[in-house]
Amino acid sequence: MDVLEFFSQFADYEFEQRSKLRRCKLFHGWQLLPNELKQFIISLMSFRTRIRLSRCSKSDNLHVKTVGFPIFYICIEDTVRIIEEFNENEHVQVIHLSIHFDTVGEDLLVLDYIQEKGDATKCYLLRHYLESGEWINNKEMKSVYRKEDYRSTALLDIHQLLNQSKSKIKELNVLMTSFALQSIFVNSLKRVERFHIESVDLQYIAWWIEKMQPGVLKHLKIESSKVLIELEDYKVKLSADFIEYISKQLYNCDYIDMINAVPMFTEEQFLNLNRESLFFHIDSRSILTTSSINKFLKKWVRGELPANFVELGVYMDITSAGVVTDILNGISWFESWLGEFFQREYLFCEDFIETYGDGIFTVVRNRANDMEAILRFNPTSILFVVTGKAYHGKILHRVPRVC
Amino acid sequence: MTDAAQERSIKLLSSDNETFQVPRNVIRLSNTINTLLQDLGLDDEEDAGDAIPVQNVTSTILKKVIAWCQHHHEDPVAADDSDSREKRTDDISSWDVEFLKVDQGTLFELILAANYLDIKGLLDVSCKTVANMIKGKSPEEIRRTFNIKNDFTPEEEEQIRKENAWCED
Repeated sequence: MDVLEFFSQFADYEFEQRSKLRRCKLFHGWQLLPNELKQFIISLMSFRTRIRLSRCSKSDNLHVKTVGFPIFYICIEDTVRIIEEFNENEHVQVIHLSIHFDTVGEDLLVLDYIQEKGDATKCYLLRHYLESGEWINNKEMKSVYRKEDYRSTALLDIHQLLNQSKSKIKELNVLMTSFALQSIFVNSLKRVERFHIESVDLQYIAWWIEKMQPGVLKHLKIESSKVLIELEDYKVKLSADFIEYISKQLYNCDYIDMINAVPMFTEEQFLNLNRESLFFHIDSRSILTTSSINKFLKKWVRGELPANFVELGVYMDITSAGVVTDILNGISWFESWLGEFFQREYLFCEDFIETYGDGIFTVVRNRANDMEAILRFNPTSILFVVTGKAYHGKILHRVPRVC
Repeated sequence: MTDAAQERSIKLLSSDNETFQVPRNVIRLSNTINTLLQDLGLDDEEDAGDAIPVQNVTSTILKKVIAWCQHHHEDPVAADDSDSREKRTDDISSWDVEFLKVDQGTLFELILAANYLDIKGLLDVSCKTVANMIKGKSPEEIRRTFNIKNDFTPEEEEQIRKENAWCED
């Protein structure tokens, strides 16, 4: 094959297109681009731009439909809250739907379906777009009005959303939604790669777990609604049977936060449940004891926990005599540090503006790999965090060294 | 490719018969040229001989393509992982932004040339520039920008409006 033959294999079509470009008085570059290039350009567009382009012509509509749109994250919450743009003085019933079309959260759509108080046939839709990091809100919210109940409207819209996107859903986060709302996602579950549940309703959790493929549940948060959180000491008991029932999914979760739950873990279950992040309560109903926590920490010191383990948080009363001693029994720790961190935030940063909150800190070292972890005691909880590694995009830092 | 091969020049012939001498190391950004030279066994020859005809690209566009390759030929090679590649359009370098401040005709010809010569980096930035051109525009404004004819019937428009009612602002 010579040079000319080589090029002639794929020259004809584009040569023809370019010739057309030259001949046109008006510029028709977009229409004359090959379909695969048009579709590539569409795949680079924000969701809002794609939708607008789809309204331009039949062929653009077809291209936008062919490309579809990616969904990286859907969060749905059925709740009661104040929506400032609607009525800043009154709580309203709202379905909050947040859809991310990229991984960095700069291309997203937030929909709030708000029910008019006292009139089941009136609902309002508040729509916010974030495009390239800039918020674009619908200006006349009350003009976006439908003569339907807010749940039906939300259901219809979610149905359209799921139909129009053909891609996988990287994460689905359902926060205490109603049965009707959760049901609409069932047919799309095969497309979901990571699943988050937040609820204290055990039937609800079991309902989802039954429908999920093993390994899909990555984040389980057993947390009560905002109303219930206000009632102090609200904690649901997770029976041994329930734990057994959800165990296949539970053992695959990276993040287990039972902030409102007292799980009846056996010691064996607990010691094997060494996920990336684990939070739960221990109270008088629990099978686990301080000795169980001590064994867990010793496992880490011996280097027997998986490399991805980051944090263990146990909510319990540690003011009783002997609790701290029992937990530290046989573990060499050093540098106890009485911190006065006032901001109760998530991570230590290098400037210590964000912290874990105050308490008594000690540092424990892993004998196998020399890594360090912080063990923090305060009256209501124990927190054990492996430091020096990246977690959720930040480096976890140890407490300052004692001079 | 040997060191000697990297140092030599390649001749490219535009569709309007202008010849360009391009360092091999610069034109390596074109997968089409790479494949051609390898398939024809010309890559290790000191003299590649006749100019390679780039039939689909005019001298004006080929000059720009070469200028782009000249500026970017030492860039680190990006991983070819289309699935995980972040689809963002606000990461165009200032040099590329200036480079692509051209009329629409040139921009679309650059896209076709980058596609034809298989220069991934140039294709990416030029396509991102087109995507950015219509960001924030209404359908009517997009039609005007790209000279698109609205060929929907009123019924079809109504149907699309219904489909997108959940997300249209």
